[in-house]
Amino acid sequence: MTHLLQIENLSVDLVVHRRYRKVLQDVSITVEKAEVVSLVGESGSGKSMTARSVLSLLPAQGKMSGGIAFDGQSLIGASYKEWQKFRATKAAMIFQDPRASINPVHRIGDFLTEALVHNRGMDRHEALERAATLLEQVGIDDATRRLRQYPHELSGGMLQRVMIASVLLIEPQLILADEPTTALDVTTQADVIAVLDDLRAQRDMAMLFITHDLELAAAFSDRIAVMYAGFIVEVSTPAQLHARPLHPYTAALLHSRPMLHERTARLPQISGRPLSAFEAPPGCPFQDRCPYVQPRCSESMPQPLLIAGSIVRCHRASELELVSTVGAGGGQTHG
Amino acid sequence: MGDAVHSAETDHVRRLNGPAVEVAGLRKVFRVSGGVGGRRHRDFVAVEGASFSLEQGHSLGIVGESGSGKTTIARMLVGIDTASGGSIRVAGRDRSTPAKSTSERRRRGSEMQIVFQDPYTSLDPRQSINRCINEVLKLHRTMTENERRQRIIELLDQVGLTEHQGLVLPKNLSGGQRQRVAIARALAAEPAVLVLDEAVSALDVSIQAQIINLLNDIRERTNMAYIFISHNLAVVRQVTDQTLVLRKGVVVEQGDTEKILDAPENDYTKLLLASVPEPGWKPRRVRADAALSRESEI
Repeated sequence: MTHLLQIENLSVDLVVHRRYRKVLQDVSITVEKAEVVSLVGESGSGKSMTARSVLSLLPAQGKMSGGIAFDGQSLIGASYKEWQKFRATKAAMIFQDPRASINPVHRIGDFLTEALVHNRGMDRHEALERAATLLEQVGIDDATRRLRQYPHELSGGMLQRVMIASVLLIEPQLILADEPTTALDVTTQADVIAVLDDLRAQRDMAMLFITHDLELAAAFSDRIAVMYAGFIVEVSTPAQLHARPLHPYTAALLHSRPMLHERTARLPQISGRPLSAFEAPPGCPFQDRCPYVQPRCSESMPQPLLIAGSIVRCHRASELELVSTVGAGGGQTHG
Repeated sequence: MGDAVHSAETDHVRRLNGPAVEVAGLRKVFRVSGGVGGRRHRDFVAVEGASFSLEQGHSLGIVGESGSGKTTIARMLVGIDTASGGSIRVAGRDRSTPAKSTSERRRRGSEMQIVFQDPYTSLDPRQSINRCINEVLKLHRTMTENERRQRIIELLDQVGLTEHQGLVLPKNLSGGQRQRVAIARALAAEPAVLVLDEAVSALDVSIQAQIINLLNDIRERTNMAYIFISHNLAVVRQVTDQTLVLRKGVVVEQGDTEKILDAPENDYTKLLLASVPEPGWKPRRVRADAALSRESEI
């Protein structure tokens, strides 16, 4: 079976302070047609870099190994032109901060129609009409006026809708969304997510959604991949992940979230701090913070195991009985 | 956790006989320039008529979205901004108008300290952690050099940092560690009230849990009062016992945190709660402009 997106054993090294440093290690994940997959993790876990690799948007001198295939076609070794074409037609990215990624000196209308006019040779008036229709669909009133405005005249939530519209305009098969609502207020976030999910589903588009918010990921993705120090440590469905996390890191992350509906006398905390891939010790990167650590954890990173439909990389995954909430089985993770 | 902390504790008890913070009818108006050449001005009301009272040892959450005026309230409390109207009393003393002397300003600093959101910009990059805390001790406490050295070690220990970490520059510390430094620096003045302006919002989940626990420990131990500003309702639940919900500068609901989060009465509070993602959450699609005009009728 052909996957829409298949990432296989992807490793990425970037130059930091004149030295190559690992940012992704052995990352494998697939996204099917019309499927939403979330990449969840803390800062430095490699979630953004995974998405950027898919569009070949790595910083200069970045080294990449492993495979990336789209619709059965390998993208490794593609020329600059081919990448450009891929980014203009097949996959598009929504960035976290729309104000930083939309050119402030161009009108909204120019920004939205650029791709259609330049890449598809569409007539400018026709393109503007399509842009106006789409602005209405993402929940912006008075679209014709908005098209004449500049980015500084729009609020953050409004501008993120423009960003979403710009991505939908080129009708990609895959949307990469890098924390698209993190900079927005909660009520705006709810709305923007609803818009994004509605329109994506109507058009059968797949999405790779990057967030640090486990709840948000659970709310609308089909599968969640949890990342830590450049590795994917667990891939599961939202229900399964919350009911029975398999990796100690996933369980600890679920534990340490403050709950909206009850006050916890003391949040179970993970000692230490999240590591970047290049700082991680040999073996499992979570070993220093893991309450279940064993000598073999420092010897090798376990290969992905399939347990009850989930994929997990932990030596002890099959023997551990982890729970996601405090009280459901005693606080098993402690600081 | 030595004697110094205990003396700090008794200090607070002795110092305060009334509420730690009393705010009545607080108002802030900003003059916004507009028109040709910025000659036409209009008034923008950032905070309108906020009143609350906070007992010592208690924690008050101020929640709201961007532009709701929560940070403006914090800035007026600590004296970065001057209130346009209303009164502020901290530790029983009025601070509605700017301090008239250095000693008055210093005294205000020793009564109330603030921790900001971004630990990357709130520390001097060229000052070691020890010097950063030492400066506050010199300013606010009468101590010998030896006593200060001892106190720095205690403060670092209290926020979970080692003696060695006191020697380094901020750039050598992670975001969570820097936020611990900012908290230690604030504690050094032994204030009666600590203002935390989105102090855990920029932190990763696992680090956020550590800092929340730390804040709860400190409050229990020192009987300090907190004003905890946040947009994150789940965090507010963990750290506060009273909450005030702000919308466009106006307090729409205030009371016990549990009551507000479990049984909100105001429609805007309900909307805020309904917008928090959780299992089974289905985001509602509302037209941006429509949502705003609908809520403004409240």
